Amino acid sequence: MAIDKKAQKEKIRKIKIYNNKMYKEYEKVNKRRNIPESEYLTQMQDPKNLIEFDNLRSYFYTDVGTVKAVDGVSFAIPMGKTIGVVGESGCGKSVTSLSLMRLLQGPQGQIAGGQIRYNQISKKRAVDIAKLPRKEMEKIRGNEIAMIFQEPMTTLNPVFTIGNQIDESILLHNPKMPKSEVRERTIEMLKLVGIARAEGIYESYPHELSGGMRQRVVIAMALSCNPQLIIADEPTTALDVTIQAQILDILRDLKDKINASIMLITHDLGVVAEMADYVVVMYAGRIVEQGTAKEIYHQPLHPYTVGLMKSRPILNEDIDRLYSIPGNVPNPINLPKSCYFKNRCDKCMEKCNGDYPGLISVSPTHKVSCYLYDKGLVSDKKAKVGGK
Amino acid sequence: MRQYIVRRILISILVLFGVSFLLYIIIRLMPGDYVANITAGNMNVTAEMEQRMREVYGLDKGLLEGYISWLGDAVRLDFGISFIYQKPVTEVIQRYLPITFALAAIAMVFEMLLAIPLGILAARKQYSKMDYSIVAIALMGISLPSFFFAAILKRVFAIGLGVLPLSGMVNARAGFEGFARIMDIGHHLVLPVTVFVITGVGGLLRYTRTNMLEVLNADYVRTARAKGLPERKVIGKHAFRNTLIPIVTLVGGMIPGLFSGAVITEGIFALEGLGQIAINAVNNGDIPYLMGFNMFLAVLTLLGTLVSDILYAVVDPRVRYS
Amino acid sequence: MEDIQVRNEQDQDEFELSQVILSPTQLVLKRFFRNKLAAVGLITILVMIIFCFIGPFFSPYSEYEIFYINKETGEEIYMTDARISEKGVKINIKAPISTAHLLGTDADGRDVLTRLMYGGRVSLTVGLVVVLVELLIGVTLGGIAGYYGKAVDMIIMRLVEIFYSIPFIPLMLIISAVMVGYGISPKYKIYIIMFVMGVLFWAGVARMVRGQILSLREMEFMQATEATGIRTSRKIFKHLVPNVMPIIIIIATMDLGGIILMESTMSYLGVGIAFPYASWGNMVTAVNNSIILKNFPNIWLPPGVCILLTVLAFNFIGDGLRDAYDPKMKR
Repeated sequence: MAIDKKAQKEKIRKIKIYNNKMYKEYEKVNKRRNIPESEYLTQMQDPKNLIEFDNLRSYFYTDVGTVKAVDGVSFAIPMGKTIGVVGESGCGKSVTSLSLMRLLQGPQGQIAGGQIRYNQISKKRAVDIAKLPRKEMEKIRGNEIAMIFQEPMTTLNPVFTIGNQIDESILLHNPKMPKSEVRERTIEMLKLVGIARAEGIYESYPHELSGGMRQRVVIAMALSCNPQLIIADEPTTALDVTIQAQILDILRDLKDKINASIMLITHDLGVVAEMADYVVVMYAGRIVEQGTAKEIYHQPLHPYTVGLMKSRPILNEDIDRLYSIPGNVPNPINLPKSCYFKNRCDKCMEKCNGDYPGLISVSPTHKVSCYLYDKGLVSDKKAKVGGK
Repeated sequence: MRQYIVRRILISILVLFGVSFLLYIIIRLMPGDYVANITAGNMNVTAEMEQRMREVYGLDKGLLEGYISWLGDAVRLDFGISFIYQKPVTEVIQRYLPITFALAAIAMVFEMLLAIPLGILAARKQYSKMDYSIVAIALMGISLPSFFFAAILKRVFAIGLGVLPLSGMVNARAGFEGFARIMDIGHHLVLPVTVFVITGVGGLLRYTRTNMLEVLNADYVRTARAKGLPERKVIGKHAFRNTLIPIVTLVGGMIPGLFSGAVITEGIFALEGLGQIAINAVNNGDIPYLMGFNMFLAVLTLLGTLVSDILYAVVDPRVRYS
Repeated sequence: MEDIQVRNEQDQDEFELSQVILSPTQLVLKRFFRNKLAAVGLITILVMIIFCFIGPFFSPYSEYEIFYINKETGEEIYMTDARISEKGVKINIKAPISTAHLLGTDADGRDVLTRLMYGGRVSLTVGLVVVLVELLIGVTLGGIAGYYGKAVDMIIMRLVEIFYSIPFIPLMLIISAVMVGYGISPKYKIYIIMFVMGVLFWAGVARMVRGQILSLREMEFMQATEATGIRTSRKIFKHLVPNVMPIIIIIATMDLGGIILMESTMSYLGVGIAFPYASWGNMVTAVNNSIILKNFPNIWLPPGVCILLTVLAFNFIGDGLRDAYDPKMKR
C-alpha cells in the first residue's frame, strides 16, 4: 500500500514542533532552583514498602513520534524483598528502573507523569523521586539506591583503577571517612563478592579483568554504601552460563546478608523463579500481570505470561520445539486503544477490541489485566459450566 | 615501553630517509644553470658559496650518489650556506628559531585553553543554540584565510583604531628596556597570536566536541551518574579523562602545523622568524635554507607523532606497547 | 472466531500504515536538512557557482581589460579606444565604487567584480581537480593497503607517513623556487600546481579509506561474503565500495574547502596562481600595499569574503553530511 509522502512530511514536521515544545517545558522544570520541600514530600501508601510506583509514565520524544516506553505502571517494592520485572526486550523494564534512578537520557527521555514514592528511612520521610531536585537525587543515587548494569565490559571507566572507582563511590557518600578506612572497605566489598585476590584487583584496571570479574566489581561498587535498594538490570545477560550462576549465587547470598530490597530486571524467567518474591510481567510499557512468584509460576493468568512460561526450556522434558509466541511486540508509537497483545493472543475475543482492560484482582496479591478474568465474564462462564 | 619507543624511532628514521629523498629529487629537478641564473643579480652570493652548494648537494654527481653525499653532510647538520645570510643554514635556523617557537608555543596554549572547554560545552548541549554557535564559530575559524584575517585585524586595530602596532617585534624608536621591553613585545604579538589562535582553534575544538559526544554516551558515564556523582564531576573527571586520550594524539601533530603556519603570519606581521626567512628565501632562490627548513619541519613532525604516541600510553592504561 | 482474526489483521495493517517509517537514505537526508547550517552551505555553493561560471556572461568587461580615464573630463575610456594616448588620459586605477564598476577597479585599473568572477572560476576549478586527483590516488592506494594488508599495507602506510611528514607550504616554496628556475609561464603553472597539490594531499584520503576498509573487513557481513565465496571483484564493488562511499563523499566535500583555502594562501604568498590570471588569493595580495589596505577595502575585502564563504559552505556541508551519515563518526 502506498504511503502518502506529503502527509508523512507534515506529520514529521508536527512531531518536531511538538518535541521542541516539550523539551523546552521539561528544561524549564529542570532548571528551577530552590524547590520547596512541600513539592516532593509525600506519604507512602504502605509504610512497609520501600518504593511505590504509582501510574508512572516515561516517554521518549523521538523524531518519529512519542514513544510511551512506560505508560501507567504501578507496583510496589516491599522492604527486604526481591521483585522480579519480566518481559521481552523493549517492554519498558529498563526504562522503569532508569526512571527510578532519574537517569533517562535527556532531552528525549522524560518522566511524563505519575509518582515514584520512596520511603527515605535515613531521613524519616517519604519523597516523590519523580519531582526530587537534582541535588537531593544525587545523595540517593549510589548511596541508598544502587544499580548494577547489564554490560560489565563497558560499565567501568577504562582509565581508572578498580580501587579508585569503588573508593570514589564510598568517599562521595561518606566524605569524612579517612582514606585508609575507605580502602579497607573497598577491599572488604571485593572479598564479599567472592574476589579472592582483592588487594591485587584493587590496583588493576578494568581491561585486565574478565567479564564475570568485572560484574563482581560492579556489584561490589553497588553494595559499597549499604544501599536500601539494589536495581539489577539484566545482570547476567552478557555473561557465560557458568558465570551467570555464580553471579546469581552472589546476589542471593547478599540478599540475606545485607537486608536490602532488590529489583531484578530480566527476560529470563528461570532467574526470576530462583530469586524473586514478587513478579511483575510487563508488555509494551504496561503491566499485564503481577503477583507473588508462586502465583505467577503455578497459576499464570494472562495469555502473555502463559506464553512466556511455555516458551521456557524445561529440563527432563522431551519436546521437539520450544513454544514461541507468534508475532512481534507492537511498534511503541501510536499504540492502539485496545489491548496491545490482542493481535498475538490465541484467546482473543470480541470484547478485546474495546478499551485497554484494567487491572483485575484475582487474589489480594495477584492482579491481571485481561478481559478473560473480567468479573462479569468469569461469572458468565461459571454460570454456563453450572448450567451443563 | 622502551622497546616500543626504539621501534618508533627506527620507523621515524626510515620515514625521514623517504622525506629527504623526496626533497632531494625536487632539488635535482632544477635546471642545470639554476644557481647561476637565480643568483646572478645577487652580489652577496659568491662563487665560493655557489661551489659549496654544488658540493653539498652533489649537483655534479648522479642522483643516488649525490643523495648519499648530501645525506652524509645532512647527518652532520651541514645543509650548506644560506645565500641570504651567508652563514651555515643550521646557524640561521638556530638564530631565528626562538621567535617562531615562542609564537607557536603561545598560540598552542591559547588554542587548548579555548578549544577544550568550548568543545566540552558544545557536546554537553548538543543541538542547542549554544552548540550551533560554537560549531559555527569553529568552522568559521577553520575557513578563514589567515592572510585575509590578518589584513582585517591590521586594518581595524592597527590602522583604524590605532591601538595595536601594525607589524614588527619591538618598537625600535622607543628603545624600551627590561620589563617595558617585554610588555612591548607582548603588545606586538597580540595580533599575530590572535590570527594563529582563531584560524587554528577550530580543528581542535571540533575534535574535542566529537570525542566528548561519544564519551558522554558511554556506559561508564552512566555508571558515574548512578554512583551519585554531581554532573560537574561526571564530566570533569570521568568523561574528560577519556576525551583526553584522542586529544593528546592530536596535540602532538599540531606543532608542525603551527611552524608552517608561521610562514604566512610572520610574513604579514614582519616578525623575524623562520617563516619570514623562508619567504625571503623563495624570492632569492636560497635553496640551501629552504632545504634545511623543510628537513627541520619533517623532523619536528615525526617528533610530534612520537611524543603523541608516548603520551597516549601515559593517559590510556589499556595501551601497553610491546 | 474467524471474524476476530480478520479484524485483527486489518487492525494491524491500519496500525502499520499510520506509522512514520523512514528508509536509511531518507533518514540521512532528513538529518542533513535538519542541520540548517548544512542547507545554508549548499545554497551558498550554488550561488557561488552561478556567480563564477554564469556571471561573466553578464559582465560587460573581460578579465584583463584595463580602463583608462580622462582626468580632465572624467570620462572613462576602454583600452581598445584610440583616445588612450591623448593627453590627460591615465589608467583608471583604484576607482571608487560606481555604477560602471560595482566594486571599483584595482591597482592596475581592472574591474574588481569581473576579476572576482574569473578568480572564483580558477579557485573552484582548482579545488575540484585537486580533489579528483587526490581521490584517484588516495582511494586506490588506501583501498589496496586495506584490502590486501601485510607487506603491501606496510609499504603504502610508510609512504603515507612520508607524505604526511612534509609540511605543505614550505615544500610548495621549494617547488615554486624550482619552477621559477625553469621560467614556467603562469598558464602552465596552474596545471602544475593542481597536479602537485593532488599528489601531495592523497595521503590523508588513503589513510581514511584504509581504516574504513580494515574495519569493514572485520564485520560479519564481509566474513559472510567470504563464506559464500563470491568473486573478488564482486566483493569489492558490491559490498566494500558502497560502504566506503559515504566517507569518500565526506572527505571530498571537506577537502574541497581546505584546498581552496590552501590555493588562496599559496596565491597570496606568490607561489600559486600568478598574474595576469586572477584568483581570489592573489587578489587579496593587494593588502601588501598599505595604502590599499587602509583606503581601498573594495579591492581586497570581496575576494577574501568569497574565500571565507566558499570554504565555510563546504565545511558546513561536509559537517552536515558527516553528522547525518553517522553522528559518532570521528575525523
